[in-house]
Amino acid sequence: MPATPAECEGFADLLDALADAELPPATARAVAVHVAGCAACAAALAATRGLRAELATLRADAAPPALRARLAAQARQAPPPARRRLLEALAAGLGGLVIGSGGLLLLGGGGLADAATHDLLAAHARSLLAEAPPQVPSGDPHRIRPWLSARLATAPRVEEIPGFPLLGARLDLVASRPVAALLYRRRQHAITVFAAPAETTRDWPAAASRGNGFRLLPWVADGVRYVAVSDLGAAELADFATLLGAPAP
Amino acid sequence: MARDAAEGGWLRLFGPHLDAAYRLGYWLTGSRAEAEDVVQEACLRSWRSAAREPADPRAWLLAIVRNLAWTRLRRRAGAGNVVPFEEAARELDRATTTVPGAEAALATRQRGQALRQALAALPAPFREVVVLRDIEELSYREIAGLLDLPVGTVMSRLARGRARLRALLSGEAADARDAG
Repeated sequence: MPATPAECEGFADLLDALADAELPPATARAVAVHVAGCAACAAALAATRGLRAELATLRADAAPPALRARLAAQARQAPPPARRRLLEALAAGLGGLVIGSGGLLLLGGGGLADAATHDLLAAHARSLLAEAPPQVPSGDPHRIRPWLSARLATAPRVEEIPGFPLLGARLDLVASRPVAALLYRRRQHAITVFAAPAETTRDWPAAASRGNGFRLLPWVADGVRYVAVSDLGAAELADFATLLGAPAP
Repeated sequence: MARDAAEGGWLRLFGPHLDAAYRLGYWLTGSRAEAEDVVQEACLRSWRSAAREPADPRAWLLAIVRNLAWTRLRRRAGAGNVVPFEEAARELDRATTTVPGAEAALATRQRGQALRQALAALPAPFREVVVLRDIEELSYREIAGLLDLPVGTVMSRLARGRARLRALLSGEAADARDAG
């Protein structure tokens, strides 16, 4: 059933809350159902996700080292906090840590690596649902490369690969960090290649694995970490990765 | 050593949040020098109240930075640089406004620059919500607590602020589509 504009109006704020994972599960499902049937809302949601990934790059701004040094020096002059208070603060911190890791265990059944894997699978699933169309819908690496390098400090390799049409690229968030997502296709199978600097993505899966019926194939080349996610067979996915510059298995 | 304990205790509590404090100060005041000032002032307060260790040092530090930055913004408002919230909301709804200098930025494909200019062009009440959510990754509830607003208001300001940012940046997006 096509959505009416009035209905979409009611979804406007909810789309942002969906992108922020701030909706209760039942509402999130209802919004997702609407988005699946409404191209306008799907495009708005994809644009919001792209914007969020882009804004995340501004997180690289840091306090000037001189300010940090000045503050550390001033802290030395400040009266020491009472030992008891310090212990209390430490205890509170530890309590938070325990609750925090408990939450992670409940959510993902694991630690940081699982969080990254979860995000990679979720982002790939969005490619499939047409919920996240490419922000650069282009099959031309010469269009995609500058678009990515204008937005990310480290741009990945983008290649035309015979038999694997390139559909475009977008930015996505994995473990809260902005990453490049390259969209390829092999027959009816979608392939999303995620890429980010190797040194900031040590929590990404290191070995080939499976989850939710998809394969994750990671590799590192020239300081960039890549993970290809697809339901393609293992052999074809490995061939694809090699063509894109993965070290030969 | 007492001195090391003081420095160590303070750094352990607030050190990890100095970057976030600086960014919030910067995006609210629009000035790196003023951002340094408000962070420094906020830290001075943290030492004065060292008897009470805050349960959430990040929220505590960000709240003080925000208050100090807003005090400066309001002071500037006297000089006509800052508009009250109602006016800011009307400004947000004006559909055809463009970011000053955006064309030049787009021409040179300085996307990062365009993004910064667009964010700087958002009225402050929307800008702070976008900064706290999309740069600092606070939850809606944390932002609501920090700004003393209902969660629903945080949600709608965020949606409107982002919609405005997308509109400000859409010139370049259309460019990329055409190119594809």
